[in-house]
Amino acid sequence: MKHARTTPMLYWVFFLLAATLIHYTLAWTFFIAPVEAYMGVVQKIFYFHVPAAMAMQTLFVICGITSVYYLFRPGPRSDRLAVACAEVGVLMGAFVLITGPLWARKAWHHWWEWEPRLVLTMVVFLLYMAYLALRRYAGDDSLTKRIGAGLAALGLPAIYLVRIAVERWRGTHPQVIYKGGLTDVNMQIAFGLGVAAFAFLAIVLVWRRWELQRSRDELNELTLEMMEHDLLETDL
Amino acid sequence: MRRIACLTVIALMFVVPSTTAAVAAAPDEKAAPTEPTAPEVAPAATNGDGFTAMDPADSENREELPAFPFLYAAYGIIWLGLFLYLISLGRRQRCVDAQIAELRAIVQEKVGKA
Repeated sequence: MKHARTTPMLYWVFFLLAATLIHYTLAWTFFIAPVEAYMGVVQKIFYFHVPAAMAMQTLFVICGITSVYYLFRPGPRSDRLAVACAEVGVLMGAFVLITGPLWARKAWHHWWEWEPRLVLTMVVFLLYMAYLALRRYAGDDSLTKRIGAGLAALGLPAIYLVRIAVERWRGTHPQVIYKGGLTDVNMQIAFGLGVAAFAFLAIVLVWRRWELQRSRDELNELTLEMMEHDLLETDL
Repeated sequence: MRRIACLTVIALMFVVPSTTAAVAAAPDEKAAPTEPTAPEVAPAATNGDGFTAMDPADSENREELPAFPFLYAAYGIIWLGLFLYLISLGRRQRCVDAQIAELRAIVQEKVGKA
């Protein structure tokens, strides 16, 4: 069993890209992108709120797909990727669900609205929270992993519903991107930088979480091996 | 590599905002093309599906929209959340690494005795 690991150069490349893009996004958002005519400065939440939502949806989709793969071909790699994507996706989801109401308070004059996209986003967020709770507290055996994979796979249709919620159920949530609502070129650049920044940030965080899960798998493997050879005593 | 990455990030913290602020301050004529387009897209913005740049000269309108506390709260929460998550990841990784090292030490000790 090997233990000593070094972080690959590619990770640091992604880390530097994420850091650089975050700085440029912040600078572009606050110094260059114009203030929106109707909502004012609160609209600048958009440059991080929407990229975080996009990152959340992408991570949950990856988690769902790898979970489906795990159900058919169980293996440690797909399981690790699913856990890592779910945890980072929940973090992004928390950003979305916190920054959204802050924006809504100013734009809609109330913190929350029982509107299809908001409610479905909350449901998907809670679903993956449940997945993480299951993985955290129900042990690390293969049955728990399979149940978790089934739960994560159920999130896939829910994510699709979040995507189509506004068109199908006539929600009030704005559809700025799909309807080409970013009129100013500096708004478009700030948004593009935000999307790229959150993409690289998500890669970096998933990478670290993957490494943690790999270490945990190694710990479990080592513990089992020691138990098989009667090397583990009761004090452990 | 980690040190280089950290130093680069710190350097970026000082360099990027100052350069972009300089860019923002320099080309004032950049704002000019956006001014005529604003009234054309105004109906989209009223539907909530579009954003229109505010006329920089429209200072009265700017004063009517004091939303900085919400903006700062949103950005503050994002960075605080990220910072705490990174700390949590680091702590969990160190804890698992310590447990692995402890088990390895036990294995070494038992094998040595045997």
